[in-house]
Amino acid sequence: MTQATDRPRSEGAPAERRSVEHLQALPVGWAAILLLLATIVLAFVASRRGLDPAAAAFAVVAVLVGMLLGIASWDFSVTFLARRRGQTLRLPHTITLDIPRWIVPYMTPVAFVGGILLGHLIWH
Amino acid sequence: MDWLSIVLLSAAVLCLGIALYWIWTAAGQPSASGCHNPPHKVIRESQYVGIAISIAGLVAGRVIARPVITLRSELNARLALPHEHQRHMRYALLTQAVLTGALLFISFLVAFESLTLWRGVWPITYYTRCAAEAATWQTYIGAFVLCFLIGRWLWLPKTPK
Repeated sequence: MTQATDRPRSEGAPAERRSVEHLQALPVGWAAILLLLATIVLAFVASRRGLDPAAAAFAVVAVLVGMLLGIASWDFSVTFLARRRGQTLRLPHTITLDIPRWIVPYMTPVAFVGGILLGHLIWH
Repeated sequence: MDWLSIVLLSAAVLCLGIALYWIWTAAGQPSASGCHNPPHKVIRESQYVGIAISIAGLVAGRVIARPVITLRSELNARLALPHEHQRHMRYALLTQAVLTGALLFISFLVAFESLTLWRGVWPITYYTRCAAEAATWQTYIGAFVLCFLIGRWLWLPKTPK
């Protein structure tokens, strides 16, 4: 999840605006990454103790998708709350990830192609 | 290009509907099952054929799509329009809700896959392989159409420096 480099622009009273901006800026992406790392460790330990490695690997995928679901739900809730308060949240102007900008539009399709390759060639 | 894009999108949705109907009717007839147990990972055609068809569908979806928004700034500018503000806010909320719903659906699928693997019964992967083994070209068409539809919206808008 990318972090906003500029503050989200919104309307409404300053106090309300600040509370929504605070909610939007909470680092929920980092919490999700920590959860994912913990799941990878647990899956590795479980597979060493006899759990089918394919089942353990897919449990990590399930947590990864659940993590994305959590982030999407959070964003939706904050946007919904902002709208009820008459505010508008917009996308951050740019992202803080230090990569060439021309790569960004291609990241998702390349990851999808990677998933196709992994699914065909490596998956059990 | 607009009419071509809409015609191809409609054709893709129609193909997917026909494929789903075909799967539904085939699953109801035990005599229709023509795959091994467990289904073979490698079928008559090389796996690279399936990979190439999927990637071709993804690229075709991108080429045929009509990108309405290519920059983040354009998206934000729409939300700032005084007369159109409410309408675009509704679209933004609807898009977020659809994304959340889609992720919820995918979460159920991957949880089901993990559970079936753990319990030792057929996971979703096996049904896909069974389809590829029993009806190869229909499965390829289904994969192409699915990747075509995904390819229409998967690319993100350009990000400024």
